[in-house]
Parts: sequence; C-alpha cells; structure tokens
Amino acid sequence: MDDLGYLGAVELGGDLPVALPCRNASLVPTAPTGTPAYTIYDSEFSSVDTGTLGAADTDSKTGFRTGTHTVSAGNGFASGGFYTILITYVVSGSNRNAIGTFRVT
Amino acid sequence: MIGYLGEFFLGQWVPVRELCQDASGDEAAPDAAPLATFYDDSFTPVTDHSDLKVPPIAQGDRTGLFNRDVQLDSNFSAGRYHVLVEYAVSSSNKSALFFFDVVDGGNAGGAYVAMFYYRRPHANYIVGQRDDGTLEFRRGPKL
Repeated sequence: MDDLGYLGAVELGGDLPVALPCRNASLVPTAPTGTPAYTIYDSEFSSVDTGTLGAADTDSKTGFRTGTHTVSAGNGFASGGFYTILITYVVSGSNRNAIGTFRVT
Repeated sequence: MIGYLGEFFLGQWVPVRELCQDASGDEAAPDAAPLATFYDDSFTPVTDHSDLKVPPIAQGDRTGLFNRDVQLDSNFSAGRYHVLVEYAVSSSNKSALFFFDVVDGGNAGGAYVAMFYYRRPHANYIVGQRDDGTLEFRRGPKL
C-alpha cells in the first residue's frame, strides 16, 4: 500500500487535487489497467463519496494519474471533518492501493 | 516517497528532496540526476519548472541523497502544487510525489537579504537586494 499521507486542508466547497504515481510490485512507475478509483470515508469510516482518477497518464509521465474532487456539502462533506481517501488500481493483474487523509475547513 | 511539504508564500524556497532507493529499498546512486516537474492544481506543468535537475548533497556522507531548493517566483500563485520526481536506478524507473500549498502574501522576488541606507541633503535612499538577486532602489520622499 502506498501512503499518500496527509493531503492538507481544503475549504468546504473547494476542490481537492488528487494525484498518484501508480507503481507495480517493484515500485516501478507503471500505467494501471483501467482507471484508478477511490472512495472517501468520514472519521467513522462510513463511505461519503467516490470518484476516479484520469484514464490516461498526466503529462505523459508513466503511471502518473490525477484528478480533482469537489468537496462540497452536497457531496456529503462537512466543515471541520477529517476524511480518508482510499485509491485502488490494478497493475499487471495485481491489486494495489494508496491511502491518504485530509481535513475540510 | 509521497508527502506534504507544508505551506509557503511567494518568494520562499521549497525543498525538493529525495533519497534514491533501489528495488530492495536500500539507498542507491541513481543512473543520472533526478528530474523534478511542478504542476499546478489542475495538473498543468508550471512554466519553466519541468524536468529540473536535482543535484546531490552530502556526497561523501550519504548515498543517493539529492536536494534542490526552488524559489516560488512569479510563475506561482496561491493554490495547491504537486512535484513529481523521477529517476532510475540500474535502469529501473522510480518516482516520488510531493505536494505543497502556496498561501497569500510574500513577494515573488523573495525577502530582502541585504540593504544599504544612505542620506543625502535632498532625500534618503535605500538600495536593497532581494533573495532572487534583483536590486531595488527606493527614495524617500518620493518625487
């Protein structure tokens, strides 16, 4: 599992940029099979929202997938909340994950 | 390595630092200097900040340790930025991702690092040097 760590704080109603260098089991940057998907959980680990990263490598950098998620009240987010994002993808038939956290102000 | 570097304002220097590792996770000298590329919050490469070479530090003390301090100049503005660092060890590609926030305030030229004040009968003058090397000449009172 890749640890994205703390992604910082984002204002309610703002956008959270999400980026991940997809890697194989040897940590070599590798284009994933399909599109990486993610689920965002609240502090009680209830699912709040989902999304996907780009279907193609960003800036032609192998395995570099990016996206933006709108952190709004309409999408289930609340000011002061602490959230966990879990990204899943497949590389060479092997399932891989990345996890990070962020706070909504 | 993936990590949040913190908050900075314009003119400050962002440390892009990477400890290169081989497939076993051991410190290793890369095949060439790592390259760093900066992206804005829409993942568009920042002007003049693509494939920046990162030089080694502490060469006699640590293997594979590289660092480059990059000043947040006029190509940056308030928002979230990502830095993708790429290198290869024994022809095996590796990468690291960092991100940081630029907050309001500061000056793209950086803070004053040197200043000289002198008085003349008709006015007072300040000659200041900013962190990016530019010189400023200020007069008081202004004409």
